[in-house]
Amino acid sequence: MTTAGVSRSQRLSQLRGSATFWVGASITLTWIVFAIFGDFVTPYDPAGTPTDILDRLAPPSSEHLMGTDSLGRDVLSRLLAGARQVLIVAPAATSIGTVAGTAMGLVTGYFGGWIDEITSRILDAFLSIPLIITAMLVLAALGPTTVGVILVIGLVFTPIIARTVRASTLSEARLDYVTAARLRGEGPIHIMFIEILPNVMGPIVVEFTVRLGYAIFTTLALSFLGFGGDPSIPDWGQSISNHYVFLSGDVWWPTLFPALAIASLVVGVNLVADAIAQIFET
Amino acid sequence: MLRFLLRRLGLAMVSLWLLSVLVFIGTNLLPGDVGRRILGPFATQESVDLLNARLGTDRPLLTQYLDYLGGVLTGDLGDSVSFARPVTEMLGTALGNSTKLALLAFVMVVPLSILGGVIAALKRDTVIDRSITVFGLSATVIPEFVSGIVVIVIFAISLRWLPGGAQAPAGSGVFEQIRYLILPAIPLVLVLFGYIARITRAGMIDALDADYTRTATLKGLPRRTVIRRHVMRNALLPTIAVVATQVGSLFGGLVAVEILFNYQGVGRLIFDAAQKADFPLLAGGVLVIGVIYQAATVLADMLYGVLNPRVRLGADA
Amino acid sequence: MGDTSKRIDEIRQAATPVETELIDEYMAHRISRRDFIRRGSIAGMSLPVLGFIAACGGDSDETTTTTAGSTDTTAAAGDTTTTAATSEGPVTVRIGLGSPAGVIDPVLINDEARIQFISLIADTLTFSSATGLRPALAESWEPNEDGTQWLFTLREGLLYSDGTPITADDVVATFEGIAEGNAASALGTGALSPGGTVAIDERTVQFNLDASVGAFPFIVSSDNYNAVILPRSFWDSYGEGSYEANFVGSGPFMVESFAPGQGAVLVRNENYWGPAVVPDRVEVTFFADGPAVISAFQEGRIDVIPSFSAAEGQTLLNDPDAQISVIETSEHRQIHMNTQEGLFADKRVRQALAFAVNRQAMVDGLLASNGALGNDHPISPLHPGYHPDAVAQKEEDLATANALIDEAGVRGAEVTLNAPAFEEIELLAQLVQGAGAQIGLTINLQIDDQGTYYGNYWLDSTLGITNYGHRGVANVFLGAPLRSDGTWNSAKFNNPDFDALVDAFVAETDEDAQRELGGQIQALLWDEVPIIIPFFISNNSATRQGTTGLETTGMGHVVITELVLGG
Repeated sequence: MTTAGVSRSQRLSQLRGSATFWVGASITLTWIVFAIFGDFVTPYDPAGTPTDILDRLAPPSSEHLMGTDSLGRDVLSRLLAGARQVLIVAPAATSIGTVAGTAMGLVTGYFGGWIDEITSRILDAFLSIPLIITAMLVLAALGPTTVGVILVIGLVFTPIIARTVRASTLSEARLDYVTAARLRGEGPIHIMFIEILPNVMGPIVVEFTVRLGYAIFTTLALSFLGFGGDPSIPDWGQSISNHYVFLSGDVWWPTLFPALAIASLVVGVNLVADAIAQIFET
Repeated sequence: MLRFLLRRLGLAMVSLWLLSVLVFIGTNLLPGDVGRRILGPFATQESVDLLNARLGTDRPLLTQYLDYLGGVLTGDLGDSVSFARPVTEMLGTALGNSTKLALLAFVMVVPLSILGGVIAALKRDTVIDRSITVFGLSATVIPEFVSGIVVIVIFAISLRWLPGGAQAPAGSGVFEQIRYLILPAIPLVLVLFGYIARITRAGMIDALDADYTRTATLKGLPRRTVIRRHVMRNALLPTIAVVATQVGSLFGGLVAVEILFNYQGVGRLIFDAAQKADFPLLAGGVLVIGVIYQAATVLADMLYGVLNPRVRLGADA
Repeated sequence: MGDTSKRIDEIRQAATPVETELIDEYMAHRISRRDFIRRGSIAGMSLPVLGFIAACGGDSDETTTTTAGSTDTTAAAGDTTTTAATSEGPVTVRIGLGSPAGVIDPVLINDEARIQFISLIADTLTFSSATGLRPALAESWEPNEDGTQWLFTLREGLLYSDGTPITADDVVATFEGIAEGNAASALGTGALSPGGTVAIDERTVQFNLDASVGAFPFIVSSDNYNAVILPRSFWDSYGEGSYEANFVGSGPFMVESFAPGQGAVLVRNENYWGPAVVPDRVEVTFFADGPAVISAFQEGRIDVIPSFSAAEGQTLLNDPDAQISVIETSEHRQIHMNTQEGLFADKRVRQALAFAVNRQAMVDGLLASNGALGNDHPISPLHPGYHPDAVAQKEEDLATANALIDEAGVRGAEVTLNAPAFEEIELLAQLVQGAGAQIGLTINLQIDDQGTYYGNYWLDSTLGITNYGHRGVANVFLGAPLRSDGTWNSAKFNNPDFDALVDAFVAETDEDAQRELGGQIQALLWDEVPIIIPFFISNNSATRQGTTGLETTGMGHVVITELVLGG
C-alpha cells in the first residue's frame, strides 16, 4: 500500500504540471459552478413567462445579451441553467456504468472460463452497435425521460468498462498476493473487492473520466434527437434541436451559444480525462 | 492462419446471433399499439385490431422470434410495417447512400489524420505536436450535430459555397453528388480525425524509439529513408486496425448527421423506424450495422495478421 | 336589365326550394356574395349559374378571397400563361413536403404530407377550395327534398392515368371500401352505410344516407382525402400498400418514379380531365421535419412549400425573396381535459385553465399573427353554422381563474400534460405549462413522437393536446371528439344535451336554423370546457417572388396545374 501512496502523490504533482489539465479543469469547474448556482445568477427566469412569446427570436441586445429563443425566453438564462441538466445526467450515468462495469469486470476477470467466454460474446454483440443507436432503441421503449437517459447510458457503458476492468483483473489475479489470499482461505468476494479492486483503481479512474466525456456527448446527442424528456427543462441539446431551423434566416443566437457551450464543456472534460489518462499510462 | 480466420469468423457469427436476440428483445419492448401507430389516430378500432392480427404482433414472442430468425437466415428481413415494402429493399437504398457519405468521409480523413499523426510524432513535444493533439482531441469529442451546425452556418448560409442538405437532385452526376456530401462529411471527419491521428502518432513514436530505427540511423541511412522504410511501415499497422474499428462509431455518427442534413441513409432510416415503432425495419437496420461492424473488425484482424507475423503466431495461444 | 331579371326568374323556376330561398336572400342583400357562392355550391347549383347571379346583385362584398399576407397567389390561379409553354425545355417544379407517416395508400393516409402527395395524382368527386366547393370528377350534384339522398353526375369521357375509363361503378367501389371501414376515413360516422352507394348508369351515382346531411357534397370532397376515386380492380385486389404498385389516379400528374420516404418524380397525366397542365414534371422531396423544408427552400433546392408552420417558419415569413400566401383554415389544437376523473372532473378547474391561457399572445407570437382566436369550441368562423355573437371571446383573466382554483380547492395540484411532437405543439405545451403555473397548477410535460402519443396517451390522459386538421364543415369536429359515443373523445365528455344539439345541427339544412343551433353548441362548450381551443391556424405556403398559380387548401391539397415559377 505504501508504494501506491507514493505513486499517487507523484501522479498528482504530474497533474499539477499539466497545462491542458488546468485549462480543462477550469472550464469544467466553471460549468459545475453554473450548474449549482445558475439559478441565482440568471438575469431572467429560465422558464420564461407567457407573454415572453411576443418577443420571440429577438437578436442579442443590452436587454438580452444572447437574444431570445422561439418562446421569447432569455437565451443566456437558459444557457446558464442548462448546465445543470447535462451535469446531472452524464455523471449519474457514468457512475452507474462504472459501478456495474467494475463488478462485472472483476467477476469475469477473476473467474475466467465459461462465465468469461459467454459474457465476452454478449459484450461483443452489444458493442457492435453504436452507442447512440442502442440508446435510441432502448429509449424508444422506455419513453424519453431523464431517468431513461441515465439508465440507458449507464447500461451501455457497463460492458465497456467491464472489458477494461476484466483485462486488469486478469493480470492481477495471477499475482502472488491473490494466491496468498486464496491460501489464507479468503472467499472470492473478499479477494475481488478487497484485494484486487484497490489495485485496479487506476484504469477505473481513467475509464471513468474518459466515459464521462462520452456520456456528455451522448446525453446531448440524445436530447438533440428528441429523447431528452421535458422540453421546459433548460437543455443545450434540445435548444439546438428546436432552433437550428432558424439558422437559415440568420437567427443564429439560440443555436450557436448552446453549441459553443457544449463544445467548451466536452473539450474541458476531455482535456482533464486525457491528462489523467496520460499520467496513468506513463 | 486459416484456423485463426475460422475461429474469428465463428466468433463473429455467435456475436451476430446474440445481437439478433438482443435486438429482438429490444424492439419488442417498444410500447403501444402497433396497429394504432400505423393507421393513425383517426382509424376505427376494428381496423386497428384487424391489422394487429394480420401483422401477428399478438402471437407469443418465441414464435415471433423463430419466425424472424428463419427469415433472416434466408435473407428475408420481412416487410416494413409503415412503408409496406421489403426491409432489404429499403435498407439497400439507404445503405448505398450511407456508404457514399461514409466513403467520402474516410477518403478525406485517412490521409489527413495520418499526416497529422506523423507530423505530430516527428515534431514530438513541440507546439505543433501539442496543437495537433489538442485540436484532434477537441474535434473528436465535439458531437457531430454541433460541428455540423457550425459548418452549415459558415459554408452553406454565410458563404453559400455548398448546399446545406445532403441529398443531390435525382439524376445528378458523381461530382454533383460529392458536392452535396462534402458538408455532411466534415463532422464525421472531425470526429474520426483526432482518434486516428492519435493512434498514428503513438505508433510512430513507438517505431521511432525502436531498436531497428536506431540501428538503421546508426548505419548512416538518411532520416527520410529511415522514416519511410522502417518507421512508417511499422507505425501504420495499428492505424489500420483503428480505422476498421471506427466503422461502427461512424455509423452512430451518421444518425445525427443524416437528420441534420436531411439525407436518406441508414442512420436516418433507423431513427425513423424507432419513432414509428417499425419493428422489422428497426431490427433489420440494427442487424445490418452489426454485420458491417463485425465484417470490418474481422477484416482488420486479418489485415493485422497478414502484416504482422507476430500476431499470427500468437493467435492460437 | 330586363334580360337579366328574366334569366334570374328562369333560374328560380328551375331551382329547388333551397336554391330559390338562397337566391332570394342574396338578391335581398341578406347574405354576402361569398356565402351565396358557398351555400349555392353545396346545394348543387352550377358555377356558371352562381357566377351569373352573383354578378347581378347582392352586396358588393368583394373581399371573397381569404388570402392575406404580402401577396396573393391564389387569386392569380385563374391566369393562364403561355410563357411556360414556349420556354426552352420541360418545366420542372420542385416541391418540398414533410415526411409521409407511412405507405402511400389512399385508404390509410391521414397526415398532411400524404394528403398533399395524393392530391397531385388523384381526384375526388368535388373539390373543397378555400373559397368554396367546386366540381372535380363530378360535374353536378343534387339532393332530394330532405337531404338524405344525393345524385352525382360524373364528367363525360373521364380516364385514369393508365387510360382506362372512370365509371360510376368505380365510385361505388370506392365508397363501399370506405364505408366498410377499410379506411381511416375522415368520413366520420353515420352518414353512409355499406350498400348505400348505387350506380344508376355509367355516369350517375346515387348516395342513400342514413340521416339527412346538408353538407354531404363536402363529405365526398377533397376534405375527405380518403375518398379519391379509384378503379374497382384496385379495390378488389386491395392490400395495404398495393397502391404503390402503379399509383393509378385521375389527378393532373402521374408517378414516374417513387422512392419510399425520400420523394418522387411526377410527370403530366395526359389523360387529365381538367384544364391544360403547365408543369411537365414535378419533383417531390419528403423532408424529415418542417425546419429541413424551410432550409431547402431558402437554399434554392425547392421552389414550392405548400404548407409550413409559422412557429417553425418565422424566418421565411420575413424573407424578402419568399412570396407567402396565407389562407384561413379550421385547423386547430384541442387541449383536452378528462371530464370524468382526476383534476379536471371539476368543471371549475377546466374553466380556470381556459381563463389562464393568453390566446392573443399565442396567436401573435406562436402563429406570427397568421391565425384566429379560438373560443373553446371547434366551429370556426369559416364553418356554416358559426354564430358570431353566441358567446364572448375568452381572454386571459387570472383573477377569475385563481378564484375558480381556490373555490375548487386544488391549488398546488400536479398533473401531466401529454402531447405529440408536431409543429408548434411542443411550444404550445410549454405555454400551457406557464399558464398553469400562474394559477398554482404544476403541469409536467411529456412530449412523445406522434406514434407513441396516439398509440398510448391520446385517449388515455388527464390533460393532452391533439392536432385536428382543417374540415370544411364542423360535423367531424363535433362528433368524434365530443359526442358521448365519439371514438376520439379524449376528454370523455358525456353530455346528453350536447349530443342532441349536434344531431340537430348536422341534420339541419336551413342555414339560419343551423346557426341558431351552432350558437347553442358554442355556448355549451364555452361553459363546460371539455376542450380548450386557443386558436385556429392559417395555412402558410411559400413560393419565390413572381410565382403564380399555386392554390392550396386548408386540408393540405396542392393545386399546381397552372403554376408558373418566378424568381
